[in-house]
Order: sequence, then C-alpha cells, then structure tokens
Amino acid sequence: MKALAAIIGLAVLCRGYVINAIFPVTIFRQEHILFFDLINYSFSIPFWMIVFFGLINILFIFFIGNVLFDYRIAILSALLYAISPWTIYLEVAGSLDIVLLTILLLATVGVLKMKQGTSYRTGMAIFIFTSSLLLYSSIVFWFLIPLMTLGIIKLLFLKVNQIKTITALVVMIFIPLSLLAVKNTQGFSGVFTKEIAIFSEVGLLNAVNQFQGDLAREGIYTFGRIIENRYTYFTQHLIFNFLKHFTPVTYFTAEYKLLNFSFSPPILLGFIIPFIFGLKGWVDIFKKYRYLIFLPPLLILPSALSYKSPDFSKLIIFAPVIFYTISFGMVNYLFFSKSKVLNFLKIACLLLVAIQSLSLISDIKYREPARIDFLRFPSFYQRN
Amino acid sequence: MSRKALCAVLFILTLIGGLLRFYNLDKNPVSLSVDEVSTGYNAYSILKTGRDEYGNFLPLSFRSLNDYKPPVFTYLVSISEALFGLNEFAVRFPSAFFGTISIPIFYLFFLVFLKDKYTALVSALLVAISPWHIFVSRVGWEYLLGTFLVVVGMLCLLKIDRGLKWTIGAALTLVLSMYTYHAQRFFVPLIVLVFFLLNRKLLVNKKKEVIIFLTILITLLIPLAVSFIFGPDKTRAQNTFITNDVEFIRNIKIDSLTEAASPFVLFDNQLLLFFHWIRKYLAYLQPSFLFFNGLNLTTSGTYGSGVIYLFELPFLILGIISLIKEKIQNKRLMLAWILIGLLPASLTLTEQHYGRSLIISPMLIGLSSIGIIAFLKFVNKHLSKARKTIFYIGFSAIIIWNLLLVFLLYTIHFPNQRGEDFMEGTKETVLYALKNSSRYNEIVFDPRRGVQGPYIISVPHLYILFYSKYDPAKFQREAKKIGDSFNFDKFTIRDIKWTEDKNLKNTLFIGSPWSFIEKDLTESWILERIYLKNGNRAFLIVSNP
Repeated sequence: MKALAAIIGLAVLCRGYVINAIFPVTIFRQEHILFFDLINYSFSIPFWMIVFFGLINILFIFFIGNVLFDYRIAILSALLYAISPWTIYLEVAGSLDIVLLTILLLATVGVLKMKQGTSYRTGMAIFIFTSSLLLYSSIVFWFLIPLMTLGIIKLLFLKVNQIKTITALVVMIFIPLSLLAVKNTQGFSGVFTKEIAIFSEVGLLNAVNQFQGDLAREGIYTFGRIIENRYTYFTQHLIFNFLKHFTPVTYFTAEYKLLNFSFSPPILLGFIIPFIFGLKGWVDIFKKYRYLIFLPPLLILPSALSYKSPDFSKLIIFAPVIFYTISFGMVNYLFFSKSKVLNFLKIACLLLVAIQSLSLISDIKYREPARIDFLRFPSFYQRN
Repeated sequence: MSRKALCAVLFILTLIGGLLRFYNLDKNPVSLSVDEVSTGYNAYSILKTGRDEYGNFLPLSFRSLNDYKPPVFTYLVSISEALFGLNEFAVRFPSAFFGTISIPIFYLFFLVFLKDKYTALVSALLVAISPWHIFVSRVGWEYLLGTFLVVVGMLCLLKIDRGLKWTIGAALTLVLSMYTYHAQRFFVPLIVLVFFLLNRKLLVNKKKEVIIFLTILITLLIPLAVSFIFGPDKTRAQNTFITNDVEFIRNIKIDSLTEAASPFVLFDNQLLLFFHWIRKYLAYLQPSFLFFNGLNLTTSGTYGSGVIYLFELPFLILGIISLIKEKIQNKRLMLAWILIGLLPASLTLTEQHYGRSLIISPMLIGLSSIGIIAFLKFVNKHLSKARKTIFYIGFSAIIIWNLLLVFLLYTIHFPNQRGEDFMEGTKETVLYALKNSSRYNEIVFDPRRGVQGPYIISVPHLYILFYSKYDPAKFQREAKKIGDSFNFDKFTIRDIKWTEDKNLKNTLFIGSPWSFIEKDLTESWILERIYLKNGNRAFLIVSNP
C-alpha cells in the first residue's frame, strides 16, 4: 500500500509539472457523459475531476493486475500509468475518455468479482451499472458492450440461468436507449458521424474521385472501377487504421504527436524491450483462451474508426493492456533472469528510461510551451 | 521437382520479370528525373572524353548536382550508351538488366542462405513481381545495382569455404557495392562483421580465405576512405545527415526559442536527436511504408503501393513467427541484415526512403517466402479438400485484385500524379527549343516550376545537354556561371523577370506559368503550351515577336 501511495504521489507530481508547463491545453471541447448532451440530463465533468479520475484509474489498474497476475505486475502497471506521457497529457487536456476508461476498468472489476463466485451478484450489479454508463456515453460501446458480454459468458462458463439474466439485463438497458435514438434521430446521427468518422473523411472521397478521373482519362474507367472503387479504398483505409495500432512506433515514439503538438512519446522508449518479451505472455494466453484474441482489436476499434487515427484519446482504453504486457515482460523475463543477454537488455531498458525521462523533463519545461503556441497561433509563427 | 522443371520455372519467372521491367522502359516513369539525366550526361561525357561534366578525369565520385554520386553506376551507363546511344532507354537499361537477372540470383542466394529450394523458388517469384524491385529496376538510379551486388557478394561469402574464387568474388562484389551506393558503405562493413561473428569457426578453419578476403576488401577501399575523409564524399555525408532534418531543427529542437532558457540545452539536443533517430528507424516498420504508400507513387494523403504487397502481410507475420519458433538456417544473419540495413536510411534527413532502404528488400522477400511455405504446409495438413479449394480460390482472388491494383497504380496513377517529380514536360520544352534555336539569339529557361506554385527547382541545362547531345569537351571548356545565371552556347538558365524581359527581342523564354505576368502576356506571344499527363499546364514557351 505504501508503494501504491508513492505511485499516486508521483502521478500527482508529474501532472502538476505538466500543468505548470503547458496549461491550458484547449484540445478537447468540454464533453458530457450520459445521453451525449442530447437531453437535459447530460452530465458535464469539470476539468479538474478528469485528473482525479486518472488517479482512480491507477488504483483500478493495480487491483485488476493483482487479481489477474500478481502484485509485482500490478504495481509496475500502476507505475507505468502514473508516469506515461500518454495518460498525463490526456488528463491535463481534460479528455473525457479518461472517465470512460475509469468506467471500463470498474466494469472489469465487476467481471472479476463475478468470476470469484462469492461476489457474483455484486460483480454483476457493477458490470450492468457500468455498461449502462458506457452505452449511454459512447456509440462505439453499443458494439463493444454486447461483444464483451458474449466474451464474459464464454470466459466465466456461466450457467443457463445466469446467461439469461445477464442477457436480459443488457437488453433492458438498450430499450430506453433505442427509444431515445428514435426520438432524436438527427442528434444521434450527428454523434454517430462524429464518433465513427472514418467513412466520412472528405480527403478520402476526393482521393477516390481523383483516381477515377485518372482512369477516365486513360479510357479504362469501367475496368478500373472494378479494381478501384469507394469500397476497396475504404477497406484499405480500415485495414491501414487497424494496422497502425499494432506497430511499436505508435506507442513508443512521437510518430503521431500527442494532442497534435507534443513530441513526447506516449510511453517511454525503454519499455519497448520488456514489451516485446511480454508479447510472449499473450501467445500463451491465446493458446489457452482463443477468443481473447479479439480483445485487442475490440479495444482499438474506437480509435480505428475515428477521423484521425490513431486517436490517443479514444485509444486510452487499450493502454492498460499495453501496461500489463510491459509489466509481464519485465517481471517474467527481464528483471529476475540470470542470463547475461537479458541482463544487458535490462540495463539498456533502465538506461533508456532514465535518460529519456531527463530529456522529457527539460523538453516539457522549455520546448512544449513553444510547441503548443505553434498550435494556438499558427499564423503568427508563419509570418515570423 | 526435377532439375529441368526447376530451370524451366526459373526461366519463365525471369521472362515475366524481364517483361515487367523492360516494357515501355523509356516511357514509364514519364520522364528522366534530374538524377537520371545528370547520370546520363555524365556517362556520355565519360564515354566521349573520359571526363565528367566538370572536367574531372575518371572521377571516383561524380559531383553531378553537388550530391557526389558514387561512380560504378555512371560508368555502367556509359557502356549502355555506347551500345544504345544517348537516350532514356540507355540510362535505365543497367537497372532493368540487373533487376531482371536478380531473379535467378535471388534463387541461388536463398538456396544457399536458407538451404531450401522451394523457399528459394518462392523468393524468385516474389522478386519477379515485387513492386519495390520493379519500381527501382525501371529508373536509372544506383539503388538496385548496389543491392544486387550485396546479394551476390553475400552469396559468395556464404561459400567462402568452397574455394578461392568465392573468396575473391565476395571481396570484389562487396567492394564494388560500396562504390555503387552510399548506404552500402555503412551496411557492408557491419554485415561482414556480423557474418564472421556468427561464423567464428571460419576464422579458425579457413584462415587463409578470410585473410585474403579482408586484404582485398581493405586494399580496394583505401581510395574510398581517402575520398570520405579528405574529399567530396565527406560533403555528401554532411549534407544528408539527420542533423539537417528540417522537422528536427524547426519543431523538435527549436533552439531559437529555447537556447537562452535551458542549461541542459546542448545535452538535450543530442538526446532529442537520438530519440528522433529511433523514431525514424522504427517508422520503416510501419504499415504505411510497408503496405500502403512506401513507394510514393501517388499524391500525398492518398493510398498507393507499399514496398510489399498487402496480400503478403499474413505471410510476413507467419515468416516472423517461423523465424522465432523454428530452426531456420542463418536466421540470426537474416535478422541482423534487416536491423543493420535500416541504419543508413534512418540516419539521413528524409523520411522513409524506398531507395536508401532497398538493402533490406532481399530479407523481407525471404521472410515472406518462409511464411508462404509455412502457410501452404499448414493448409495442406489441416484443411479438408473442399475447404482447401474454397480457401485457395478466395485467397487467389485477393492476390489477383492486389496485383491488378498495383498495376493500375503504376501504369495509370503514378504517371498522372507524380509526373512533376520526374520533371515531366521538360523534354518537350527542350526539344522545341532545339528545333527552333536558329531563330533566336538567346533561349532563356526559368528553372522554377510547379503546378501548385514555383516550388520545384529543376536543372534544365542538363536536359538541354542530354537531348542536344551537346559536345562534352566544349561544355567542359565553357565558362558557364555569369552572375546569377548559368550560360552555355545560346542557352541561359535564370529566373525570368517578365517586367524587364518582355521587351527583349529575338529571345525565346521557357518557364512555368508562374514565370510570366498574365496581364503583360499577349496570346500571340505564346508559341506553345506544354501540359502534363493529368492536364495541368506545366510550361509556356513565349517570345516577343
């Protein structure tokens, strides 16, 4: 518990440091959870509470890690959440997805309680409550919650009565939501277009038109349209958006800038070494529970379907999976091994983390304020 | 498979590969790029006078466009020009030729490297149809020849224990590769070092061969080393090094705003550069480079062709898994080849570059081949006949769709969307100028061009030299630089200042529409309009009668 308290203290320190350097970061429009701001009962969360929810996430990540793995992996995962620029920047910028992550983690706690057997009803109540919050806050969860429910049914080997109960409850939550959608079609259509923006990207449609113009000029329009058309183009776009989320450069370098301006990587580069080792843990899990192979693509879905992919804000729900993978690699392969090669990699990992942390501390203080000014006042900097 | 059948298959693959590389070689890409025309004219100059365009006798480094090109490819182009004349085909012929014979060479290489003839055969197939390999085979650049020589060199090195001819062959081809392209100068010493570290027994059992190899290598590299330390190659390295990366200087380092503030700034900058380099290095493993737009065939922001086909994605993954799980010959060397191969490309100032990273293409092809064999074994073992048929039909449809898509990208969209990158239209303007040169006292070319704005700086003088087959000896003797303009014969390369120039008589002006002020331009003065394939206007040819 002392370690956890120290991690929370460190988290507060990191967030305070970044806030001092770059606040206010007006990237996110103040969003509302519940009812998508379409009716008067939407609930707006003040900015400062987002940081508070971020600190709660540390506790949930620790708890879940402790149940699924062991204490060491849990504490390391909590530490990773606390110090990763990814989570820090999103909280400082007031991203609502931090709150969605909190709710999702609480839902996972509910599932774990259901698995424990003795707290089955409490667990189910938590799962249903949190699922409702998620369903009424994000359209993407309309796909994710039913799929997660299916996964839970398979994972927990529930009895028929239990399956019926849980399915009935999930369906019951959907009913008011469906009525709301029918009553407010235009509003929901707008929310849908905003959250699943992948197919309404104007640049993509222009590109398809340009390509078809080239084909028409060459006189093979009809043949060309069979090979190249809107559907093949969008399929490529979807595959591309998904694949981006499975490369290390996305998470461990500043390839895609955080909040559109930062050159801080989402996760410190040194952790790529234990991450690669941790992937082996996933191979073993997939061998045992084959359907869990759908978990990473499901969690990536909101980001893959968004306009600018990868969207680190929507992708935050996938972050705990990466943190657990890194911690798993650190504990089970790297840090307690006696092999000379692994010792060398361990030192390389710690060294990289240390020097990048020093570099980031300086970079955040002296350069990030300038970078966010480039974003706020682009025409001024272009003129000067 | 019998030896005869194997040879027949290889022959057919080579024919197909040759057809894909040679068909319309002079027409696609639509025009010679500035590098190609520079290489072409310098090769012509060497052929006629033994000197480059600057008068240097048989140089080890061609100054060219102040980028100091390595020599081997240019000398090969002179041989090609001796056979075919000074034209587009001759400039691109060496790449297409070595690209075609790469197909059987890749087979032989993987036969020795992986010790499996079916994997080797699949590799030959993949290289025959590889978009990356075909694209660089059809342009007169050094990348393909450099990679070809490395593959041949490593093939010989793998057989170093079989006799002196392989030892000498390895040394000569690897040295030649370092005189062919810059990336190889970094790559070859490192891969040779890794090879001997992984095959330490050779150092003991084949000491004589190793010593001969290293002696030849080091001796022949002395001139290169001298040029690098004291000569122009140092300039080239400095100009292209990652520290000149514009994004790093402007957005990451931002010294101008922060230098007074931080006591750690100097130390900081080196660290930022290090992490910036790591990002560029890892970005070569991104799906955008590998599968979606690595070859830059289409306009920015659209999907084109990656360096490998999209259908190869599952095979690449299977190949990596097989590499980890199974006992595959030379797998450590394969991994080292990819990791080292990305180093020279990532240390330059440009983002992912298909030419500088071409050195890793043999290993990516190898990985895909391993994956294909593993895939076929799995399908044959675990699926019933009916399911196998459905699976093969479905997957074949995807493969055919992907092949046709890349075919359309290369033959239709690439010429339409990237013509300007290859200076499309310049040849037409030069041919017009040459045809009508007797009517004018002076012909002025404005080097600035571009459909979006005058942002592209061309080198029209090289195109004039090339298409007029200008006497290299005469060009070497002429004093060319006068003030801001570049002059030879009656050609002047300078910015057109239309407010003053419009009054000049007996002068032909050739420039993009940006060079002329429209309200001061009478329709009758416009002698010719040159359009790009996509219908955009590239040049105006104007004269005040």
